Amino acid sequence: MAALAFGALGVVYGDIGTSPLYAIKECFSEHYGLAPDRANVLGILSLVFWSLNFVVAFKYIGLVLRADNRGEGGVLALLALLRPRKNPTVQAGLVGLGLFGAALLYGDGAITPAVSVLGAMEGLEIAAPGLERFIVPASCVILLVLFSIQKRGTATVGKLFGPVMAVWFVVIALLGIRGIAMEPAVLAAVNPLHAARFFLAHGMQGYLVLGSVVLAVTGGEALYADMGHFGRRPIRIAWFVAVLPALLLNYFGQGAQILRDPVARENPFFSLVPAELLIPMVIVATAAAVVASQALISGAFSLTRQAVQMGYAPRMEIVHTATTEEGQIYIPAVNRLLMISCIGLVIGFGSSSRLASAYGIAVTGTMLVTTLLFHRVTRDLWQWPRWQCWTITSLFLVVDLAFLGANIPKIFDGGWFPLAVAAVIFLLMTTWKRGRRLLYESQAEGSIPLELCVRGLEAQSVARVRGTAVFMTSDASNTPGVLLHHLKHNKVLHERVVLLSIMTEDVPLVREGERFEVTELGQGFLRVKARAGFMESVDVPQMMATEEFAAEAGFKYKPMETSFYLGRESLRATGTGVMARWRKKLFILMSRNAGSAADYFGLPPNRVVEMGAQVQI
Amino acid sequence: MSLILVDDDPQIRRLLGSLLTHYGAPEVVEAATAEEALQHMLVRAPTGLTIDVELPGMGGVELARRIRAAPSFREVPILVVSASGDAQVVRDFATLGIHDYLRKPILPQQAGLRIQSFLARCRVYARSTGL
Repeated sequence: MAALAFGALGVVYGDIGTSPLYAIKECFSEHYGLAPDRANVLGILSLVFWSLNFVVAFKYIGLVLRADNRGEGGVLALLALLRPRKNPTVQAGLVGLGLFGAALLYGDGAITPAVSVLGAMEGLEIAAPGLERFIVPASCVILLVLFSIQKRGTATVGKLFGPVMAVWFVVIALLGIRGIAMEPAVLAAVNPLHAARFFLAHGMQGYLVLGSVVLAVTGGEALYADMGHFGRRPIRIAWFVAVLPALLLNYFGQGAQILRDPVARENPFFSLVPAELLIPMVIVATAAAVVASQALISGAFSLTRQAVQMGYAPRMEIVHTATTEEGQIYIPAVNRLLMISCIGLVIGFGSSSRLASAYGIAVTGTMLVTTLLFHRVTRDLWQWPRWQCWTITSLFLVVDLAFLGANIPKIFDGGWFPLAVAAVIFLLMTTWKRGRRLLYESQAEGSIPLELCVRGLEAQSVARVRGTAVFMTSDASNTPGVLLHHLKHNKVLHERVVLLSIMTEDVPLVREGERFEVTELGQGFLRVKARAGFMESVDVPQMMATEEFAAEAGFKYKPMETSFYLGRESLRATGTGVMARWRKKLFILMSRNAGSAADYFGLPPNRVVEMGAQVQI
Repeated sequence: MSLILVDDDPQIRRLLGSLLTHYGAPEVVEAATAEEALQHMLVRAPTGLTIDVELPGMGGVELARRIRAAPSFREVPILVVSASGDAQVVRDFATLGIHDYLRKPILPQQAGLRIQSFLARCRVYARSTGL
């Protein structure tokens, strides 16, 4: 358990752990014009203290973490937890909400690595003022290296993540203690009255500062999404034993430093560091920022895979970088896009402070979505009494909406970027889902039920040849178009015909013994439904080589005697399907660029036969 | 409510003066030197001062020290205006109790909120002292 908690430090707490680099600094930035005086310092610290305790400790660690889909967390898992609603509008609303929450995560996803690496490198402003001009180029190089090593897998580097973050939390805690020791009066900020007085004194301006206070808790959502790797208990232990104390000590230390030295408001984190240790501290901070970025990149990979398997994104090339660890995947397309966005953001915004003004709006949106979906979980799944659900939800909503509102002005300050990214991703995901539905409907129209096809074969003798033909189909009840096409033009069939459908289930992993459902249809026809969890990558040959498959299907898979048949539809936007024409065209474009089914299912290239057909949607 | 703006650079006086007026300061009295500022203080009790760090003759820190030495001006809000490399001077000021500091060059967009926050503090001070 201790080892797991240690590991959790690396991945789960990277994001929230690097917030001290920029959160307090941002509260005292020119955006709000707060004077570095006692009342303001205590007010801000009080807000940070209570936000961390309420949002992260109470909401996420205490409650939301309990809502896991067989161990997996995150907004998509939360969505999967909810049973389909009878009312289609409510159902569509919930699904839309969940998808939008996931899309928002991508929006902030590109900012996290950029803002934390820049924030760490900005230590140079204090450590070596002459090197200031290298901050942006050096940050770009670090990000470039980080993204280019992704394809080699992060298992080896990953082993260092726990220790790096452990060092980080110890160091920031020590720095905090040093600061507090010099100005112990800062501890008074634990009293929430300071936060209340701060709001009273500054009115609207004080409220808007919440837009920067939220930077201290943005990691909460990532923590929930990463739950699958470690489980609830290690995450809780790591939080209460190491992370929360270290963060609080450091934030209070930063506040103490500003009280002693008003110039510290320009970079309170690095102002805490003794001059001779500044350079080593920049290095440690950069290492921690890299870990935080890595957590986010891995998170984006796993979110994308979930989306592909739930049918919200086209198939993409997914590379397994480690044979032993299930979670280790790499998606080249996502990696490329994230790298371009991150480096573009570093160059475009140029400083962590300007980036921080774009940061937070998306993640507060996801936090709100989490609250809404979590409410349904407490009602439908856990069946808590109504008053209890509403009390909790109202509390969450007040805080979420307060943070979201304070973030709205950020839209004009660069916050449009994560929102635009989220909007595009949301549009792509919903277009893909709807387009697939239209395609399915249009194909189902012209197809024959399987039973009918098999009976037809009984009536007329078709030449059968040795071996097995596997037809991949998403519709298990009808005869795949490829099969009909093949029969019509080649007038021959293999002696054994397997109609294989891969069903992605709303669970992360499918249990042994529950994977296959085989129906014998006669005439050597087998209908096989294979289940895969949304966290699994599908490898059809490997699946068929298992003993479970041999036992269920009654034959052993021989690679050299098996051919895989795939349909390759060439789509036309001229059909009667209900979707705007431009979205149909978008769907067609996405289809054309989707990874091939052969790659996605891991089919051996020399055993695949693709047959084309034109389809109108 | 009246403010005293101390700076030897006429351009900064004009810029900062117009910013202070823009954000609602009813009266801004300008002084080019520390000595001139002290003379103004004899005839009118200011509700706030902005003090440039580098003044000819008596420097900004010394001016602040003398102001704080007078019991009636112990609490008057002070906004320090410093050149970019003057962190240490700002710290010296801090021991005398200042509201906040502005770094030169003063960019109206960035300085705006700090000036507003300073003026808000001056108003609180004016109310509490009945000035």
